[in-house]
Amino acid sequence: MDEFVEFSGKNVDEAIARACEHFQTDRDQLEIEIITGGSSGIFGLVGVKKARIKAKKRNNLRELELLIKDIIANLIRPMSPNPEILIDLQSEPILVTIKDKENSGLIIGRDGQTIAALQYVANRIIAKKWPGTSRIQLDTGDYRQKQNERLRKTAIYLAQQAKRAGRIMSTQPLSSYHRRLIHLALQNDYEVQTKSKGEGSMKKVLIIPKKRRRNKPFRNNRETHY
Amino acid sequence: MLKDLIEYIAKSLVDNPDAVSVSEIEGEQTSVIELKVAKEDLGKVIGKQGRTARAMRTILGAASTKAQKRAVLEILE
Repeated sequence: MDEFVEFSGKNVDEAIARACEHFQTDRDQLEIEIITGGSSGIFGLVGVKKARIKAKKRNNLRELELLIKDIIANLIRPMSPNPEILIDLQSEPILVTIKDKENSGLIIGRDGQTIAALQYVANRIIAKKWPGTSRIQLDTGDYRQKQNERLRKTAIYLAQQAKRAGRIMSTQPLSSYHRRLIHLALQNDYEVQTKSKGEGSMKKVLIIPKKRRRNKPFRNNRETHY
Repeated sequence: MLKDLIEYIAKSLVDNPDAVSVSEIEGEQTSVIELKVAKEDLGKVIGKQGRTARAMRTILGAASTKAQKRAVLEILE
């Protein structure tokens, strides 16, 4: 995005006025950082210091919201002609929720494939049209919440299995976001360790028990898929 | 409508939107959507390891389910 530019003046107000002039905009459209406040010295003679500030144009959030809405509406129009799209710009990544009860199943797709594809393409378009923005995360219905809950349960189940059998367990291949959820679900379980393994889209999470069973009849390190 | 969807995505991703052309060849059950972009933009619509192309096909699949017909995307070189 735009870089900060430095301005100076007799006092802060004058420096800000110069910044406004430079960016051709009002004060409330600028993001301002004061470097030194400046001082007029004694009788304007001794110790006069100029005020220095840094300023840059504020990203117009309203515009970004409209852009995201427009992109999502265009992408899902054939599946969901009249959706309600809610955007939470304060969160990171930006949360975009599509409200359309009738079509949310279609938007999610089998194993969440469609929603993942929509999110990926939307993020590519946003990166192109609005460089430097944080990414978006798409949601519809209570998809994310349900999915998080399901992954947490899977993580706990696999950890139990790993401890009981003293063997390494493995999840199915998961996206980075989903792998993170597995790591987080088990970070306070001191009897197991989690580790990602694999390449590209085939990365999965290994759940490794601290107490490994020795002299196993089967091969060491054999992974069991869940 | 399916053609418009692909055209929108492609035009939004490339550097030369004017060079994007999409045509739909309708068959009885399946229609083929052909996408043509400028040579230097080919990578943008295909993506790393075909990820963008795959995502477009997935979205097209969901959209065509709603329209009750099958559509396949061909990216022409």
